[in-house]
Amino acid sequence: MDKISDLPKIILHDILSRLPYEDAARTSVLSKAWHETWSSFPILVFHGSRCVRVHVKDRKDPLKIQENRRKVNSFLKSVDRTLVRFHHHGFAIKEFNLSMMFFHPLFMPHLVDRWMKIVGESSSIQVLKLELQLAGCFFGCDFDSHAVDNYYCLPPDVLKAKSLTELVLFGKIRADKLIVNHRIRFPMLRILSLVDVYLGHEQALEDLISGCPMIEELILEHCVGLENVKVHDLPKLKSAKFSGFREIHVDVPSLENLQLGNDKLEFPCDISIDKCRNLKVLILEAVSSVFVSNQWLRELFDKFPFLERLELSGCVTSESLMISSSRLKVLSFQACLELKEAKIDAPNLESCRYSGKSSHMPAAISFVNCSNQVDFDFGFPLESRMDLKRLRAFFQNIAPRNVMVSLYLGIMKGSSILFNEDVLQNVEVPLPRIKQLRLSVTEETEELCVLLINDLFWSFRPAIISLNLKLCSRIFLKLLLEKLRCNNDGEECSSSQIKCWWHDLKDVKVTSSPKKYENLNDCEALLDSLPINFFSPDLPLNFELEWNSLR
Amino acid sequence: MGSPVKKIMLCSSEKEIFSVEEQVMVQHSVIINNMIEDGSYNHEESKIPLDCVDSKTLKKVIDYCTHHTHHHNDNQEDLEAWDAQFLNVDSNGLYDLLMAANYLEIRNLLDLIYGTIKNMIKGKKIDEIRRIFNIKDHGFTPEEEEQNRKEYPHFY
Repeated sequence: MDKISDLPKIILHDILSRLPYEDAARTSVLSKAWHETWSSFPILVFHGSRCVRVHVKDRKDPLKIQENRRKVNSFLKSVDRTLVRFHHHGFAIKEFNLSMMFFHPLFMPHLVDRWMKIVGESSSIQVLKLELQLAGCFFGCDFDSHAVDNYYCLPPDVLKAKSLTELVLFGKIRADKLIVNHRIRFPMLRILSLVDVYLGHEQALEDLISGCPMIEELILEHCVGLENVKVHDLPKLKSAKFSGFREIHVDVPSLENLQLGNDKLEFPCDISIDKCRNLKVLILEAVSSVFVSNQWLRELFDKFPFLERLELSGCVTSESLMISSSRLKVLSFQACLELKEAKIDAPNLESCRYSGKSSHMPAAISFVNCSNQVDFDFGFPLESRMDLKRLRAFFQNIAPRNVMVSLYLGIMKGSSILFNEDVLQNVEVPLPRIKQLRLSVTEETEELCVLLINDLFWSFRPAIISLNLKLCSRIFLKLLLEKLRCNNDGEECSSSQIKCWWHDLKDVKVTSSPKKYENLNDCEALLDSLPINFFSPDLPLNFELEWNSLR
Repeated sequence: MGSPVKKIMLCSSEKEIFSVEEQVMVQHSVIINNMIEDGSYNHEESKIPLDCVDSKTLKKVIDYCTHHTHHHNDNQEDLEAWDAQFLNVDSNGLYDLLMAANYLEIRNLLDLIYGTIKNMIKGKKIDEIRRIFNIKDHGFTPEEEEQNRKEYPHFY
């Protein structure tokens, strides 16, 4: 007897709710008993894009359009059947999660209205996630994506869901009428996320959040009709993300985590967040109104004495920065192209991330008063005029020397890297320690690949090499495997007194997922068996390298 | 040291009496904690009847609570190894433990068992899960089974 299947439904539902949805759904065909358990599982997820996929090239094809219509209809029917069944039996609905990339403003609103009514009336509803995108050319007709008439208008029934703790609206959804007529009141709401939705007017946001005093997480991005975000009176707010607004005023002392972005907008954004004294995390993405200078940094650390994490992405900075904070644990610069030099004086720093852009020299980064356990992650796509010697110099300039460094190198096809003739003359200098070297190399010329591999190992002695097979050329992989197996019999060591790098290589362990490729010979078989292209799933392959001596 | 360790009596469905340190059960079981706190347990004469828990299961539950009380400072790896060994039981044993933990409201033991059952399902194909749960008769008609396999080929 299988007693597990006999467990009370409430316990089985609890277990299923801890599994990824796919795994939970699979139990519906295990047995009759499990099917019954599944049929009252209170988490309802309907992702239309999983059932219906559209390719751009097919959008004018009448046969495809007809097939799409049939698939969409069967999707709608299955959602409808399920909800009506839940309603009929009085089954609890805890979560309703609907995503449709093929919303049709003429034929679908009444259906969604019916579903919202059922969901709103369920006394146990906690999570409501709704994503609607216009069908576009999907059914062979075009919709104006800016016309408000084409948005789905959220019905007042949703307001009945007093038990709601999470409300996520994404896409062509109007929430304005709801707010004007009823003043939303969700006393339990902890997470509110509105992305691309229509709010209509400036007052809407204030009306909305004033009725939800328990909000801990607030995400607002590109809300139509809302240009200025003003947030106060949310005593529980811990985490917020705002993107695409002209003005952002946040006056919430409880706030710890703030992310600001301005990606789609040209105009500068007026930011006032000074009263968020307890901020621990600040992430700025392409906020053009901020100029990161030494003064700005000093004021920042003064204003927010608890700041532990600072991430700047696509920000305008001074050429030279001095980052000095006793609290800072995580620091990140991504695509901050003006930055040429950064001195980091942060005794509690745990990790630092820098990623540059091709054709820009990486900034010179040095650590003062930092622990030697700092994890420094450096990413760089290599293109022409950028050579490994400079990179190596960059690493040698990192102080203290034993910072744990991870390096990402992307080397594109046809890149004209200048390989160093004089690398050998420099090996007396200790080789930079690299914890992990992540590589993607699409170069396809054998000669260049050989040079590259030799040059890499002359420059760095990584403890781990990580490859994403999907992003590496086959010839590079073959050559790397050959080198790592020390198949260098035919190759003369250089005339120099110093031993070549492969003599220092003591042992290589392979770790891969799936696990079956665990030694270097199997790897060849792996390569031969795979069609590697851009659409294949990620194939991580790691080599753990043990070196004889680290000079 | 002076005062002796306070004990409470638990009585299994077979009427076997187990004497356990009060602190051990109070720390882990919400139900027993409530009984002690509201005074409904009398140390002189009471025993707590657990009619739906058999002796074998009750002994295991007490083992779990005792170990986690006295070894909570051990490193995570040791504790996890102990837990894995503890839950090395067949699916009937797992069922009995779960029902007992549920009845006594032992939150961390429940989480542990839920996690174990979760791992029996996660990422596995139908036939594998049927074997693990020992589902011999799935109860579907041949037509229904055929239909399921056709409709959800990726599950099998």
